[in-house]
Amino acid sequence: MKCALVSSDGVNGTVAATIDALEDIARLCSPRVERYGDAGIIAGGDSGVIFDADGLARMFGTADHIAHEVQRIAAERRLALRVAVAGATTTAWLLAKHRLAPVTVARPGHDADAVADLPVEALLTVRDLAPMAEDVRHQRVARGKNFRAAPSPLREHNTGYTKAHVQILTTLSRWGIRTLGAVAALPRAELRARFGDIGTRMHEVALGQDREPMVPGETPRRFVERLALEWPISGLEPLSFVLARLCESLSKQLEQADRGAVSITTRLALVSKAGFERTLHLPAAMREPKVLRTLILLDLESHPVQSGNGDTSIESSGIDAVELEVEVSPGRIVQGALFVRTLPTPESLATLVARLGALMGETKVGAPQIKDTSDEREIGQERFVVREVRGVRGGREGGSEVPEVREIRILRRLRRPSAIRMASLEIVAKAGPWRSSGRWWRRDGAAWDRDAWDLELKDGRLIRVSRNRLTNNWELDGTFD
Amino acid sequence: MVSQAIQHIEGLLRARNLDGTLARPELVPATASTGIAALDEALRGGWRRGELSEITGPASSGRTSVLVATLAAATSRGEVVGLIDSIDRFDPAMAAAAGVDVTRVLWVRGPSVAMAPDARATRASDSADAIIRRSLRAADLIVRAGGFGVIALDLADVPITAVQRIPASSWLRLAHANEGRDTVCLLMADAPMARSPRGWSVRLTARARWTGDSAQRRRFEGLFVHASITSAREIGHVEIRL
Repeated sequence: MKCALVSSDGVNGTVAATIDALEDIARLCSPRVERYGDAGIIAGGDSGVIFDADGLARMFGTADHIAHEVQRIAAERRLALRVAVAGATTTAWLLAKHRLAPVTVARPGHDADAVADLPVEALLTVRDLAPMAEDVRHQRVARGKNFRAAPSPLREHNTGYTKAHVQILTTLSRWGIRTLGAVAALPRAELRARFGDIGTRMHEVALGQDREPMVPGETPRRFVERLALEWPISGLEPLSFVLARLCESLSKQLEQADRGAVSITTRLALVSKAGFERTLHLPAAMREPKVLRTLILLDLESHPVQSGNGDTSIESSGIDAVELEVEVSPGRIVQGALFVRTLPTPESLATLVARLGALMGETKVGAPQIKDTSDEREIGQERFVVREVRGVRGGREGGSEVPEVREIRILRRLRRPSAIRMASLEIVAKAGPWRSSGRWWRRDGAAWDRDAWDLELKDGRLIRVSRNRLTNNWELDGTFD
Repeated sequence: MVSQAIQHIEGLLRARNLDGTLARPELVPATASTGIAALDEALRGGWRRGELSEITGPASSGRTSVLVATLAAATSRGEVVGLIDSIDRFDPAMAAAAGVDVTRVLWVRGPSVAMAPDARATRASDSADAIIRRSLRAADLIVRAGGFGVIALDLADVPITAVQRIPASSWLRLAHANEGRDTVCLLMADAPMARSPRGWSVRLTARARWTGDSAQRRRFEGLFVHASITSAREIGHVEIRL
């Protein structure tokens, strides 16, 4: 026995239920819930939810009681929906979708009778019939020279049907078939001979038969661990022990569900009644408890805990409760290869970058980024991510197998060029100037206009200096090395 | 470089005392190319993996060019490299032009210390000490993380007096951390600091290469570098054109 829920227009202060709301209601009744349909597939229809009502009779009573119980839950939530109970998934869906009554119940074993008076257009709202109808376009029918198709009334209206749908409905219309009961009365073999597999399926639907079993969707699961402490703790060190325990438990749950954490939200309830929340995004899905704990601690260390009003820290005000919540993604499948170079794992890299960030500053760690600009002084840094390089094999290390680097001139560039007095330099050789300018349209000091010179000094140093043409000052760009 | 999978399999065999089936360790140490053929030849294949080597020399002696060539060679082999840029002097655009795949460089930048050519002696030595301590700690963290082909600690232009104040045990600790790994650990500074027993010391001096026969056509092209190579057992010299 299956129960279908479909959203309807709100009346008497109720609003139309969303698909998520329908699923919530269905999950209150049964763990076996399936989302039925997709507005993109089903012609002219929205989607609904089907749940398996077998075994609910002991809790709620008859099919009628089950349907009314669902309506009662929806009314409590001020949601408008239609409920139908039938033996087959398809029948329950058709009844919920096309009957206007809030509750429709098909008598057991009489699914075909329940849908007999529905119009044939209802066929195209069945999940597996809509895509099958698309294939009809490919079935070319030999026609006589003077054949002229009868005009279809469906063409006149904006019904949302595709050309293939119209073709099926027009054919049925020419045969005088108006209802599902009439389709059920046709011989199945003849329908198949004329429509192919879709003809068989139409006949099954009209008789209230399912072709595929119900496939329940997974229950959305939250991964949350919370620990209320008997005595408040203060400082990161005692917190690390609490985090270790929570991470261990979370890690076990993630392993059982074959999931990895992609972000962790840490919530701390302070004694001062203030709350603290911080979300850490991880570079890859991971579930090792030690790595998770270390990353959370390093993140808290580099972002000192301040409550909402900024006057309380965990050092001065203890922690009453700790909660960890993780967002998950499917677990990573790691396959070691014999001929692939050893690269840092995402877990070790995440920990390393977090440690380095705490040591040197978050903005000081990453991969260099080449900016699309003519300003040589502009640099960028982005998040460091290790990507596998395809086609690079171990081979013999060193020697001539590695292509020799082209001729290079490397400047050790001063990030903030310093002023320099040209008269104090003993210049042996010079080359230049090389003029560059840009952002002349900006008034915020971002414009530049300078002449660069390469100089060899008497003490052997090779430097690059620039004359700022906007200020007429000389600046040291760096040293060639 | 031995892959992670092979290391794992060998570990499992050793745990069950089945390591008799493993091949004997190589007598020739694993090396990583410097990216410069003449230097590779002088170093018998390149920098030794699992060892601490150093590149030293005064300013404009080609130290950074040799380091960048090493990084370019490593990234072209698909390795990831770490660069601890103690006083933020690395130029990514020029490194990329020299062949470094910058997406495979973990760049750890120290504070941007402004310095004029004649300001070398005026920098506060205490801040230099802090910079060196942090840089060493960063290098240690990267070495211990594992999986990097080359890790370079750039201490060039940091006052050598401050570098020499670092206790020898700090360098020993770094060398020990890198022992047995497939990582080349490189130090770069103005003067010799430390190297592990099987590591190389490469001291560079250079003169400029200019082209053009008139002031208007003159251009700085690169360096003629003379490298003095020292290890525990041998001393050599090589001329390099960069």
